[in-house]
Amino acid sequence: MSRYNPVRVEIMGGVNRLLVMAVVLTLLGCGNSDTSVTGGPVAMRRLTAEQYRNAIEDTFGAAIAVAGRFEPDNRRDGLNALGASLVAVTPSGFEQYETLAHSIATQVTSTDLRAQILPCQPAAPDAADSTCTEQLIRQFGRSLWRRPLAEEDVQSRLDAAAQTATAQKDFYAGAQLALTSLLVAPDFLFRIETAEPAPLPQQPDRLLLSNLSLASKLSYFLWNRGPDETLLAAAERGELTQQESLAREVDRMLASEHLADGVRAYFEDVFAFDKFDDLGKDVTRYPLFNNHLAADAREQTLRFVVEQLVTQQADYRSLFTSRQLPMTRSLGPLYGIPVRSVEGWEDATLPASQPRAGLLSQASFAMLLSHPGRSSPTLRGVFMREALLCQASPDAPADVDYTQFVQDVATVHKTARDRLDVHSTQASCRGCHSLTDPIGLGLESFDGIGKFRTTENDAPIDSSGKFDGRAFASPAELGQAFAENPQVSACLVRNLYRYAVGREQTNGERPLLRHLEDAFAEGGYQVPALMRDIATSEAFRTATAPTPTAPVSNTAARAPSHDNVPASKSEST
Amino acid sequence: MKRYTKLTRRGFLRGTLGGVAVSVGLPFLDIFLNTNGDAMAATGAPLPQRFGTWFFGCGMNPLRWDPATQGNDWELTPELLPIAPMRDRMNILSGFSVLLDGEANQVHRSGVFGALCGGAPKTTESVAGPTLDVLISDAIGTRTRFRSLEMAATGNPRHSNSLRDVSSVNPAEPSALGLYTRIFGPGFADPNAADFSPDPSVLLRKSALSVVTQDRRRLERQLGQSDRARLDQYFTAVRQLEQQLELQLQKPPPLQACRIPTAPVDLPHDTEIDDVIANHALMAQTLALALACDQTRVFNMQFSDRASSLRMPGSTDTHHTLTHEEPRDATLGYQPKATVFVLKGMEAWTSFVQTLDAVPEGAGTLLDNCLVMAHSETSEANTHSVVGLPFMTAGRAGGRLRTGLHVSGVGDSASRVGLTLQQAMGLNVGQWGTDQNQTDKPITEILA
Amino acid sequence: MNQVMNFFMNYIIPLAVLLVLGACGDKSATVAPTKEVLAAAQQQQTRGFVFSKWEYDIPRDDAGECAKGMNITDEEFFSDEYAAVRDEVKRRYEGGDREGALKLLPADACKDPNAMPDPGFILFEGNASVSGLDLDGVNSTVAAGGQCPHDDFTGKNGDTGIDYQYWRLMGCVKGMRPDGLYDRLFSTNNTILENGYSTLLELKQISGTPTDGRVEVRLFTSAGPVTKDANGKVVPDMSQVVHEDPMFHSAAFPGEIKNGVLTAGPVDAKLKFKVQAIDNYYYFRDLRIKADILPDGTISGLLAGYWDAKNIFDFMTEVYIGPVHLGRAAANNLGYQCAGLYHAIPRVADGHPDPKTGQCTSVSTVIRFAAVPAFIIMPEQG
Repeated sequence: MSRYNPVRVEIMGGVNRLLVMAVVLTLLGCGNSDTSVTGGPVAMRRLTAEQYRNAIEDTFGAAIAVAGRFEPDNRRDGLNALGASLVAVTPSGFEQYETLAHSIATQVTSTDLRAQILPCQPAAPDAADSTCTEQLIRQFGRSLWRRPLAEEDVQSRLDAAAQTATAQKDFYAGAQLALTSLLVAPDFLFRIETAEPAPLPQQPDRLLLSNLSLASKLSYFLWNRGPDETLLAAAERGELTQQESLAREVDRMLASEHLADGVRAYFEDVFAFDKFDDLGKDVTRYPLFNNHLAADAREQTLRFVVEQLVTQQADYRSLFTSRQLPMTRSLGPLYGIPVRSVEGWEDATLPASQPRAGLLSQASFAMLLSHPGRSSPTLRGVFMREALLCQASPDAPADVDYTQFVQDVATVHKTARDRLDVHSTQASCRGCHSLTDPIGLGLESFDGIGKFRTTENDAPIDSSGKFDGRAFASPAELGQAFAENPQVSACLVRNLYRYAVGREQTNGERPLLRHLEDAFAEGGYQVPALMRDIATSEAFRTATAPTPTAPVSNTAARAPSHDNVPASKSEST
Repeated sequence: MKRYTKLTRRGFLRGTLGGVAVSVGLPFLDIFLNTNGDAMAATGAPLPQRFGTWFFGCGMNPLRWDPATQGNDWELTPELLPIAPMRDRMNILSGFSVLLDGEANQVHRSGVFGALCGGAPKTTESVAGPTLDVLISDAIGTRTRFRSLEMAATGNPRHSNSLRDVSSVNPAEPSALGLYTRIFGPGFADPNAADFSPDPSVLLRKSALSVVTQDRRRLERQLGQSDRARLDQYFTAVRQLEQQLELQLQKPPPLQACRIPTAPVDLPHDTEIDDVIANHALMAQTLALALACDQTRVFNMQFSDRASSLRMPGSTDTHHTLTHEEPRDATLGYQPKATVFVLKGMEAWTSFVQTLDAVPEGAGTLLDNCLVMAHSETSEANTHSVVGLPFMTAGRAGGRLRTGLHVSGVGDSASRVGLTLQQAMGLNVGQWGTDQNQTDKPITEILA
Repeated sequence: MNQVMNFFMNYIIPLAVLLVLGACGDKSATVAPTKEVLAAAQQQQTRGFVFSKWEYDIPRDDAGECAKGMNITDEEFFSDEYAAVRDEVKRRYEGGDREGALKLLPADACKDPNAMPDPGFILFEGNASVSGLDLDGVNSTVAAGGQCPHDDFTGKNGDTGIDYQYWRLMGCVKGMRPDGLYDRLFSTNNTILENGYSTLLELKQISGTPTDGRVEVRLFTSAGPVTKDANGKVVPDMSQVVHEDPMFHSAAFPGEIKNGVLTAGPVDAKLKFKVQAIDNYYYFRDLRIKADILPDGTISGLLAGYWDAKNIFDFMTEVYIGPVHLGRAAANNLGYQCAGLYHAIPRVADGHPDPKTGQCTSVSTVIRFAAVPAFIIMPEQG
């Protein structure tokens, strides 16, 4: 068993790999059931767009507009959280950051807002004032950089600000410069972890995350934002390396309203909802579709998850069966239910007469996991296997001859089930598609934007099938089957753990994961409790010495899943 | 087709950057070429980019104006025939509408302010400003002598759609001579002779970046090898941006096309069509040189006003009253007298674009470094329709825009036009408009 | 209290049944309809619709001839008076003094119909291929006399006895002729798609099936606008809240569906309407519906009834932009004089005779409509 990410071991090459394996085997032995494992290397993670926005709001208040586009995230093994420690900043991305920083600093120092946001006023508005400048550099720097600033960091900014304030006869020009320089700094744009050796002589490469790094790691995991002052202060007092005070802080954070942001961010990541940003549909086929509808569908699922898991403290598995969900007026037609509110959200309950219940039936997935002009059972099946069951589905073989799939939807292959039949007759397809297609076809009564339907091309849709040996007759029954499948909750544990530590799990962490799974089950599948267990685990707060890996570009590491239904003759997509 | 002087990369660097240390590899070339490959001027600084609106009142007849097919080989329609000489330098955007969001159609206002502000006005008195031109001048118009120039060929200073909010409408210059005096009269500073003072805000941004480079040594001590590589990428990006800013701090190249024209004669300015056309032509010429001399980068021209008060010589029927009172010719299927004004408008628009194109600039013309949006407050004026409003653009915004295309919005919000133009002018805007008119979908077909 | 008038039942239940039946054909899973589904299907059903089209029936195929010519406007009638003040009016108007400009013109009968004597009005005579219903059950002719004598129309499909006196009133007004201003305003730029209110139709099944049976019907004005899709069409299955003012809720009235054709009425209804400068309501009496319920779930047909005479004049003349009364401008655009209209309305009125004077107080009229399925939601009780 290796406590290294197998991928990284591969990179190190043959000889090293054997050496490492040997060392690891000697140290830990196989089948170690000890749950106190060492975490991965210290990391430098780029903030996501949401984390950036949260930081600006936490530091300067909600009056500051953060208008702009961000560099795309990097999805690794199903999570952006894993790619965050690999992405760099491109020149064009940096231009955006700089424009944003300048715009934010300009707003903060504007005549409208300066009195309300800045902690002090200069002795004279037309001259440098080092006392006030220093105060704002320290205060805002601490919030933005998630740690107290070092003297050299303060001094360089103070000098430059004084120079500009004097030259332009404007204190606020200097303040603007100081703020801009804080906002474009790597210390803000990246969460840079530091660690110190743990006092275990037999494990010299075992490191403990520094208190301040742990504070950030906790707050980004639980809140998707930087530490608040209480947490920073606790870290400065060195309390986070003590089990008791760590537990106290984690409990405080779990009770905070920000927990909803953390839960939301995790599900947004694991559901790959960032793909909504460039979701488009063929509006001749789906005239109901527009950006607002897509935004509502995305928001609906996230609200649903937060409502169930955080507000109602419900069993995670009930996500797959619940008939309650938040609703807007414009989503009503997709679900075929009345919505009273003209604007905003209201609680709706899907009627028992509908074959629709739980996450799998929600419009967000139907919309996202479809092509612009039609639904895709394969995309839906792949998503369920990968994101909800943690089962890998390989890419299609490179030599697929798609011409053999050209079909005529007007006559013989009217429904997706007819068209996908080729997958089960071709040996090269069958292996994977026998896993993805049957469950994907179970959701065929939702079209490419999630509107309920009973026919496709005038042929009735059959949404029955078998999921891992269990028969289902409707999407609601498929949801029930998911809720009762132990793999579903085990997969949540695995994904949430990987999300929390920001890296792939290692084989050495299996005992820990099993322990977390057991505790999750015993506690009634409460997600906040699982977050507590992860946040207080030793793996979460320990690290290994950095290992050399090559940075990757911003492009997704993996080609998007193919969908083996080529456009057929009579389809216009 | 690229319109820049061919230089070898090395020669280019040697010839232009002199003392600037160049320590980075290939990607550095990126900063000399913007996204579509059009070059900066050979002197190393970008040519100024300009934005303008050109307004004509009372719309057109959609069935005779909208081209039938999209893309670049659409056929000229009866009411677009006048633009034939410049069609390859323009885009036609049909079918974009102001969505009324349940508000009443404020006749002759909803269409224009809906398009310029990204949302239909809610009452007869209100407008949710600022208008598009003000948004853009906030970004690109702050360094020139005039933040923007408003002109009304109809000779009425109140004929202006440019406003920050409803209480601050930018008044229009009603006479060609007045416009000339304002620009080239006392106070005109020859940009080619003037002393150069660098933009303090660029200076400030550059200083902020050099502070960050001082953080580098500390960070390198902290990081492992792979993260150091990522940090190198970050500081490469910082350095590139510093050098871009450095270029902006240098004295810009001489404006080769800038010359002081002779003063125009003071024509009668009223709403009689021939006077308006003559006044408009003189204003266009003066404006073109004002742009060439970089006196402003934003302008708004009103060929006619909302509810067009243009009229034929000797007639008291205005274009607007004709759209309501003239019977539709049963055989032709449109109002012949009112439609004459539509064609006059298209002719004037074409001549306006030709005037900008007649001024050489860089390797091309002034028009290449402009983006002008022509628009109206209605499609069919007779019913005050705000569905399928007529929009046209002219110029390439320094290469950021493709031209010669017709795109139909099939009922999409006109906010898509405004969003596209803001992005083409380099504004960092991802979403624009309110309620139903909110959009994050630019018209990518015309963006280069 | 939530009073959701129209649940999913009508749509979801049949769909669910279909779905279940569809599944029966498959060997892998055979599921019979549950008891609950069958029970729900037996229950009363309520169907809602939101209007996607509303237009006067302008007989495009054969609008008939106006042998006496077309009506003229105040501006034409008072051409000398207008010419004398034209330049000054224009000067004031362009200078922003709208009120001052309007003061110079002759008295405005659109504000006060008695401001001038009756200048006369050309009514439509003869036949035109109108749509409509025989509201009074009689093939009326003027010659036959009787109360409020009038000539009925014969429709293009040969229907006789059609009562449509509003066409007699407006058939020789330029803006009402085929392809005129109203035609384009209502059809090319469908007013429902552009403005604030639409009409809602509710059918509550009393007996029989959705295609053959008895229903209870109500009409409402919506509280807000319709929602449109990317093609500009009204989105079906959207929730529509009923206008909060009970004035715009009709009473329930009986209806019958036979072979997919709905006939219902009579009922009195006030329905709010808003387009451009018009913000008013229609007051119809003894309104009837005849419409086809189409296989795609939409509905299309006629509203025919008696339009209150006073309401007609108000509706035509109370036109405002902001505080400015533009009834005369509207009349000029359409091509008639308000004073003439005012005095002509009683001459065409054919319904609801005043018990004392015998003078009819309403005018038969026809609205063509189309509607798509919607969920009708009653407003919160204040």
